[in-house]
Amino acid sequence: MKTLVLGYGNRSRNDDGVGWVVIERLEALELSGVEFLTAHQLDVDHAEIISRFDRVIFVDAAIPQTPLPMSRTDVKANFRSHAVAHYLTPGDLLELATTLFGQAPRAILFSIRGQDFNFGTVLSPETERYANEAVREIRQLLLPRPEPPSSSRRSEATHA
Amino acid sequence: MTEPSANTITINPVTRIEGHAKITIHLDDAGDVADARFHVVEFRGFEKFCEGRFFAEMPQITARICGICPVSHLLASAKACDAILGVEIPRPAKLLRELFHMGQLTQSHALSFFHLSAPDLLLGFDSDPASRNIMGLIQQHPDIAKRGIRLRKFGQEVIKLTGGRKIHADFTVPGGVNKALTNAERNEMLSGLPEAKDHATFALDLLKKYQESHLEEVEEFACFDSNFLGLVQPDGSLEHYDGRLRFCDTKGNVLQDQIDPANYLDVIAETTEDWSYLKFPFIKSLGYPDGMYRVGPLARLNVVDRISTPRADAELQAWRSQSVPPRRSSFYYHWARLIEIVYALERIEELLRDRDICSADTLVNARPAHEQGIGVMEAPRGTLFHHYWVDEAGRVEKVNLIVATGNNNLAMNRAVKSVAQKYVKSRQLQEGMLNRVEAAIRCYDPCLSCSTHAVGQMPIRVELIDRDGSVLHTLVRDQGTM
Repeated sequence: MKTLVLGYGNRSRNDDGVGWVVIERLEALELSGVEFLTAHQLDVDHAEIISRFDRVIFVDAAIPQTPLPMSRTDVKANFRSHAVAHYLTPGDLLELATTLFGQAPRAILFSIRGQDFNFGTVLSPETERYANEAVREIRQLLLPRPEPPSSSRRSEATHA
Repeated sequence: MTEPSANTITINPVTRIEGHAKITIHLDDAGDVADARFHVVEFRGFEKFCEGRFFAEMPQITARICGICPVSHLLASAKACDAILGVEIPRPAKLLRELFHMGQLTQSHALSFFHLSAPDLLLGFDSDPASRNIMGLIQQHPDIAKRGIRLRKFGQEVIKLTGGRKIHADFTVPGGVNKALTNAERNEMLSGLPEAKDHATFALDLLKKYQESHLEEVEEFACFDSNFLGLVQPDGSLEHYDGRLRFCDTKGNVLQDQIDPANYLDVIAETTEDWSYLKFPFIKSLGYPDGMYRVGPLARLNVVDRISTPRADAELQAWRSQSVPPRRSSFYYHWARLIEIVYALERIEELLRDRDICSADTLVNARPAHEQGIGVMEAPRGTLFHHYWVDEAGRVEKVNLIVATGNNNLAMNRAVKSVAQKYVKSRQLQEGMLNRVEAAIRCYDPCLSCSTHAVGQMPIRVELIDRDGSVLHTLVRDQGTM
């Protein structure tokens, strides 16, 4: 299974850069069979990139009002009107990938709650803790396992 | 969307623009539109954040202001750093920086036209906002959407091949650039040019056809008097990387010309308003707010005498022959953007065929020689100023940034007011009116992306407000995740 882990956010706005931090820590583990990517924000170009993978794991910050310090959700293709901005959401990307390139990967979004979005490159203590938790959980997901039959995998991707 | 309360219109997320902002439309006692304001409701503070950093770090730091036009910040910052070093960078480095920038101009303008504005034009201002977007465009006009993606991709490839990365490349450094271009990279870019030019021609033809069938809307859309600012070469031709400042008035008369960008503080001043965190620049000699000016593609094409590349110049002259310049309708930002794409592609070819483009002479080393450095250039959205003050060790003591969206701040207020005066006919907001207000803002393609992009944030909103300050009606398009 070809997997991409994509962390995004503004690296210069403290906790908004948690996606980048998670990617840096995962890359240091030297895992095989996985690709990593960081981005300031998601845009149209990423639709083509993700369409080449079977699975994509997105990692982003969440606003302080988010109930859970970290959440893991399956992403569904869901294009929203606002999103044809300079930025897109993971759901937008999946729908664009399907419409433009005929296929989209299975996708999971790890949202890590941020507390401090001021200028800087340091994570606040809670975000730091859950960045490590995200690294641990994503690493588990990336461990080699038997691949499901190709037909069911394609079906899941279509509905992702 | 909330229920109306009493006499102001507020549009709270204006979809498809960067960052976090709000539009308010103010009514007088008769219920007519008296004023409109484009509020930026997030404090930036970026200049303060940079204080104390070593000046050579500034290109990388300031590039992270924005995920869409980091190249512009990289280049303006590197130019300010060159000035602190007191060096003239090697010619090949200058060529490569300009090549880098032409890639940026292509991708940014392609995104703005095909993905943000084309849905307004091709699907109609009065179409359902839920489908008046890139997905709606893909479903109804898949070929057009794919052309936009291909053209943007070409620009991104120019950036990647020239600078090593598409986003936040550490390519431009004080004193030049840190990567020479290989022959293979040059040839790869050259091979993509014919297709890119075809997409640009297609887009221009599309816009010309639109104008034929919507002449009144095109001429009158968010149309108002203003001054214009852009960089020009010594012969008055279009320039994006270097050049000198030229200001024209609303009739096209040159107000000030060939101003050394290092003297920008002699001609531009800034003020603040208590309802926006974004500052309001104006022409010093005309005062505030009479000194309001516009920047960006339309302003650039309004101030220049000509364009140095043949195809783009022919398009410019044909465009100008339709009426007496300058063009005042904000709609013409789209037109100017497309002519600039034609220019960027021609200029990319010229640069790639220059005998020095693959030279390894790309960097000059020096120590800080001056206490200040100013870098000015034309970003896709308009004139961009970076000004740093440093101590003897090269530590940054003070920073002043005037970004394109800041330069257009007063103009965007006027654009919204112009549209609101034409389309707001009651104390209730109608979708068609709201769509046009948003479209007026999109002409300027504002970029407020120093704001964060955390999950759950709301980008903007619109309010209708009466003379007493009561909010009559609020429209919020979307509160979704970002």
